[in-house]
Amino acid sequence: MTISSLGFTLLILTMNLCVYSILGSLIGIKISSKALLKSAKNASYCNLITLVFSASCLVYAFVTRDFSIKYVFNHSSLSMDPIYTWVAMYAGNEGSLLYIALVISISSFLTLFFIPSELNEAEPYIISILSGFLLFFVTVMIFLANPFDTFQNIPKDGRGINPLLAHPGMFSHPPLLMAGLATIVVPFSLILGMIFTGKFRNDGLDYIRTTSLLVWSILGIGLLLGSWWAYTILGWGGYWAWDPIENVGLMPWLIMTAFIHSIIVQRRRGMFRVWNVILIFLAFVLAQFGMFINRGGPVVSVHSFAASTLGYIFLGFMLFSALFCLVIFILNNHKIKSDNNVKSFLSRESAFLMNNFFLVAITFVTLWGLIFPLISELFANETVTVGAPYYNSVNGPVLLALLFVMGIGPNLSWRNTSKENLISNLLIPISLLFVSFILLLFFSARPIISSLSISVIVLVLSTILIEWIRSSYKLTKAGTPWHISFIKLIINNRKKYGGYIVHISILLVAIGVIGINFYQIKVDKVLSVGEKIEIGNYKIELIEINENEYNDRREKIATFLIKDNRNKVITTMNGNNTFYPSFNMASIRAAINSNPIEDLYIIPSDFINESKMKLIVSINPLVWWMWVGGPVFVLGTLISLWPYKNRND
Amino acid sequence: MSKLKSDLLKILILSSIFLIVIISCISNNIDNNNREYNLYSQIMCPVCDGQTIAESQASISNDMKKMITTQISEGKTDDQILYYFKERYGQEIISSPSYSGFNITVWIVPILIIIGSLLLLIYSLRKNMNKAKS
Repeated sequence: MTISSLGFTLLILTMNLCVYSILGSLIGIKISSKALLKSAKNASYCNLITLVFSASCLVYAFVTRDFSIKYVFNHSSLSMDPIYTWVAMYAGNEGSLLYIALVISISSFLTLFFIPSELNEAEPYIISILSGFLLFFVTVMIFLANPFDTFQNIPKDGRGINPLLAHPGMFSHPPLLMAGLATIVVPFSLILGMIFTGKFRNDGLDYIRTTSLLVWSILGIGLLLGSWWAYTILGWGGYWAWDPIENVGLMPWLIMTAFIHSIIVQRRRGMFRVWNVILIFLAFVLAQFGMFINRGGPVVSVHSFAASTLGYIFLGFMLFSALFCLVIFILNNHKIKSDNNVKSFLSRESAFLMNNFFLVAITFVTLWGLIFPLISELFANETVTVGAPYYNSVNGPVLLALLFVMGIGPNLSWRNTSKENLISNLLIPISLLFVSFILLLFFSARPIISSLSISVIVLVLSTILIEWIRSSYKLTKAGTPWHISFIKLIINNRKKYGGYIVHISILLVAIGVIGINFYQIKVDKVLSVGEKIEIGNYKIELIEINENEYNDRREKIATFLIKDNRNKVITTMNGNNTFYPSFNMASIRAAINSNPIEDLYIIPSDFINESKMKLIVSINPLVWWMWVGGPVFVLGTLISLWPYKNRND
Repeated sequence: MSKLKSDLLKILILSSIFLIVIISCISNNIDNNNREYNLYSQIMCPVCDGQTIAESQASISNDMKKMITTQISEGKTDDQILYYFKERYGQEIISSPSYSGFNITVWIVPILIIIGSLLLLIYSLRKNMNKAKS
């Protein structure tokens, strides 16, 4: 048996297991047979085994360079760096479907393994949703996009991986992003299960919160890593370009962000139940929309790696899931009632509502920009491009409003906030906001919006810090030293302070965005070896240009010597421009020297001859903080997810 | 809700809407300190997928950049330069839709919907609150 037929057989086995676990669960509920339900659950567990082996077959084929498999032939070659053969599995359409199927099976295994007893009744429904979702991907692979398809005559060498994907980011960004999008099905299935059993109250809400936080943080980190990847390489429009494929990853994340906030309100006050259902449905449908756009959608994007002719299948699946959600919603709407209403605008509830409102607004603006070219084509018969200027100028203010709510919200109490509390909590932050705004207005020559954004960041940061200082000061009164009481504070209120740390990480990202958008300096220059340019406090000298010839690529490396104002050597930097003849494509890697204050960013845009080249040099202030935001984000999520020993807490 | 609170709230809402409008207007005129880059990032590369000529290294993008530099040195305004490219490649060469004709809907629809639904949300919340009180 060849590796390809083994892999394919395992896929067919998975398909059968999925069908069995769906039917078993549904029939098991009908005839209330515990044995059948148990066996359906086990069948769903087996999917993990079959898919792990099936995916291993594909990875094995890549690592051993088995070009008899068409997919391996199309996405690898002999000259390719061996390390990338381990990840080439998800470099194209078919393999990434297999990867997604694997992720779904892992996540459904974990979901079912850790499921709390209060969700026992809903479990069969959850299993059928998860298996149904998996079944879709497995069926598409088996009938339309088989990653194990083989050649009659085995070619000697493959076509190689897309040069843009040969980057360290390949190990983290695509797998995390795809995993984040695919696993939205987990909280989705949990909520559906609870709706079907008529128990969408507070049971199981903690579990939903945990799974959604996990999904949300995986997706968030995936997006940030993509941003970092695009920053280090030329051609993806910098850290964020509002490219359609970026947008379809961002939208579900925004909706999930709204969801993890509003689920808190449901837990604490029994409110927003219907709204939470709408949000999770929306997130799921948007994730399917992303799948469709990514794999053969009607819009132009820089990320066309997984493009296929299967667009209609994914469109169909998206429409089906939208219709499914709509029907479920209409049939069950009356069962999901909230216990309370918002009592005051100055309450935590209403702050969460505003947070949700702005997040949904940003999603809407993004979606509208994404589909507008199609609308314009349809109604005005004109092809237009909706690019970054639209998104920045419409989403920018809404994002700012969202940041503002992030500063005010945590200072409001549930139900209603007393005037005294409000003043004592917000007096210092609001005054800081005004002071910093006025100072920036006078001392910064940048547009007003940049000063405004910075002062809003000051507001949010100061509310968080003041709360930290006050609360740990209270503990200090009992005699503990302040640093210990600060740590105790976090350990004892993990959800709250984990959330604050995540908020800080968002601020860090915002600081980077402001730095690069409003304070960037950029020059374009042609430089010969030995010549210098000056920008900011840097003197940049082109020392040498080297050329290396490989089987699959020609690499040109420029080396720069960087000195500061006083001619002290800071460092040397390399930027390269690699040309791949078989793809007729160049991959340009920027030279970056990063520190907390600013990045020196040199793009070797064009090598004119052996000793002359064209450069784009820029100074990008504060971008470093954006990447620090990533680990802080993970830390915050982990703290807020860390389980308590005592369930009473 | 006390009178003071409701007044405070009104002021808060009005001022935030006012801010949003002001900011939207300002952010359209962000000055990148560099006229050429500003223009580069408003023109799409005709042979690439979803890149502006500022990012693209395709030879046609480099030619277009040179043309922009020449036209700037000839003393043409930004609008004239953009118009020049629009004439030759159609509206899709410009990275964002214009403020006229059907294209204006891309800007107006989201702003109207956001402000409209915000007002609607506040109105319905108020109604609920009043009902709860009486």
